[in-house]
Amino acid sequence: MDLPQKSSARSVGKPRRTGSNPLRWALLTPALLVIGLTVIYPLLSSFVTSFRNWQLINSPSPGGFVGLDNYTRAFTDEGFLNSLKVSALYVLVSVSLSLILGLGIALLLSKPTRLNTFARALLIFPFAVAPVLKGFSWRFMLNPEYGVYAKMVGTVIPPLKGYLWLGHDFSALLTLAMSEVWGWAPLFALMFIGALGSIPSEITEAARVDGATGWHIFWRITLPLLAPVVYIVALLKIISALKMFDQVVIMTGGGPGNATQTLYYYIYQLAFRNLDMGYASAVSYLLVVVMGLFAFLYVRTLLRGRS
Amino acid sequence: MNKVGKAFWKRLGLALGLILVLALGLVSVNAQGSIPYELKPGKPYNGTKIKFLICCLAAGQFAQLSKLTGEGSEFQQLTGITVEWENTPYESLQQKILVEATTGNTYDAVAWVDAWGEAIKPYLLPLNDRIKADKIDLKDYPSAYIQAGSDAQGNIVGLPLRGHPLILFYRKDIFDELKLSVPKTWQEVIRAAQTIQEKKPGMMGIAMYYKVNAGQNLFLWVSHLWGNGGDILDKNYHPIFNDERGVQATQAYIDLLRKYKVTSPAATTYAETESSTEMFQGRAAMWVGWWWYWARFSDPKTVVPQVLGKVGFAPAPGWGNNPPQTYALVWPIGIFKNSKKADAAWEFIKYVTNTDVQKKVASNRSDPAVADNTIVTFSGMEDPKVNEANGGIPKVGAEVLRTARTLPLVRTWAEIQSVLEVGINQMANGADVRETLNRMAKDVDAIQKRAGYYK
Repeated sequence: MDLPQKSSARSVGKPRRTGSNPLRWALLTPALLVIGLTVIYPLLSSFVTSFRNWQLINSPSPGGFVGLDNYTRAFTDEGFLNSLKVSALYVLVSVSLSLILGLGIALLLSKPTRLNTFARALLIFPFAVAPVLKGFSWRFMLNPEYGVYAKMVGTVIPPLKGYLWLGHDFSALLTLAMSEVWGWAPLFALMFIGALGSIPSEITEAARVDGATGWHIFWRITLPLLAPVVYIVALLKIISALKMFDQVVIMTGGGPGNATQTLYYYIYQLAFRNLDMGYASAVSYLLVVVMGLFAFLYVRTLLRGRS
Repeated sequence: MNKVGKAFWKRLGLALGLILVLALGLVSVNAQGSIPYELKPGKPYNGTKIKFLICCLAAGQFAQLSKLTGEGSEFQQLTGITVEWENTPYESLQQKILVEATTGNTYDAVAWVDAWGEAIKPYLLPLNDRIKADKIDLKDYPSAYIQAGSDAQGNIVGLPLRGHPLILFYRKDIFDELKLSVPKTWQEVIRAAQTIQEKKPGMMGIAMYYKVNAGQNLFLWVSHLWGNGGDILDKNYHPIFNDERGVQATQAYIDLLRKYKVTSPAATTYAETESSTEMFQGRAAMWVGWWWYWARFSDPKTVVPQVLGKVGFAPAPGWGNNPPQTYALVWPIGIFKNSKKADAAWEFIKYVTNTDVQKKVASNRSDPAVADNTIVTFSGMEDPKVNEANGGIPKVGAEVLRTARTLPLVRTWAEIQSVLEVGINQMANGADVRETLNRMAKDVDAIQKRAGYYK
């Protein structure tokens, strides 16, 4: 009686060994080919290019190998250092604002009332708006002559009447961040609402019985229990923020001056405006290293959570 | 009939037959010789299909030309050639052209913006022999347009397809009311703008644009610079825009915004589109921009009623007593070296750049959505019909184009342009002019050295 039971347990609990099954490889081949051609090959090719001198204005084919020259050039290039600084600041502002606002919205809408359910459904809309459309809308709304945001802010805070939101270094960066936060904060709110729902109500009720205030409950119970979700969401947003491009093109063009020239936008300029393919590839790989670090942390956290 | 008689009639018949054949041939050749627009007679490329890499079919001139050369068009009937216009978004056109030029063989003809030219020209076919063979009069084109379509060796690789002089658009009603004369220099622009702002509160003197956006804030800066006798690069390709003339011209360009305040403070965040909107919506009394805007100023769907019909035009301002030197923007059209249908592509180029075809397009006002006063030859700009259809702006454009210039013809222009437009925006936002120009010159110097222009 034991033997069939063991066999049955194996067949249910463990996957069948199919390593030598040619059908498996035949089914996988098209997908592997596509990934190989569209992901692996460009990655390898641009990696090789990053060690070569290749200015498209001089030659249609890559020039000789220059060792680490393109990489060392980056650290003396004011444009690169500026875009690195801009990207770091942008990530900091947009991630913190998205998290704070997302959490705030989630706390407001966490109780399952009818109105809250309706409001939650509306939350997904800003995230569904295309980045280019967001850029155009925000640029229009912030126009000091006829922009609705500019008028609203000017009415509520008179000293800010006629303020050039896209005309000053920090406010331009803040505005870019806000155009992103507008889409991401509601999405985070939805994620946080889900996480808040999984916190057992007995814990907060017990704390209340013990005399804890709402503020204490939030800091000592809710936030610590939400921490794993906040961490995952923050990593996701950091990776996304590092790729900021569309709104920069549409809203500021990297300006005022180069105050909103993010790393992604700078790479685009190097490759497709200045046609300096070797250097653009090297700078891209520097960004890959940064993004790879966050992606690693993200995947590791996800896998840990699963295990 | 005897043998001699038969032979006579036979010979006569043969002779008459020969004469008939010759006559028919002559008539046919004559008929083919009368084929318009200098196109080759006899449809030698009948059945050939060519692909044309272009963008912006929303531009009236391109929209009309695509109809004139598309399926079932006049051009197709005359030549038997089918032209496929590949309407690429403007933002990705430069990349697409480069990819095609360096590695592809999909397209035969291509049109590009002058500023991108130097990176593309090595991959284009020299047209000199064809121009000579077809007796195309290059003197009929503005020299700035021809220079922009020429490579470093002096070969012409592109003929002008679409081009624009800079024009001063102004509100006639306001100028009449305040008895102001139309400014001819930037110094006069400031005075007129100050008077307008003083007498007409809420009205901006002039709508300017200083934003970083594809080099648009350079358009009026170079007009100041060249007008004052300065230049961007010297003949050895060294930057010289930071010399005394450059500093003076740049200071004047920035002073419009910061010292005289005759333009909106938001001009630092305005590109061509936003600043022209100020004029469309009646908030500015003057605007300097490309002449094709004339069609938009005459379109009731684009401008508010109080502006419609009240916009006048004049040549873009110069500098003091110097002859005005403004930037002329041009879209040359050429043939890829990789093209296997270069001869058919040349027929197409001859057609779309032909004065008569361009006149037909520029004088067509039947549909306001595609009306476009743009025309590239002087004879076309002086044509009475074209001027009648466009309120006389073509003649004014011709006047501007006689002294207009093109951008420096260097491979590094795109990179230099980035440095310049960022610097200009920084100065518009308050950075010191001389200091910023010196830093910009240092950056441009590094670019030129890296590209091997000098050591």
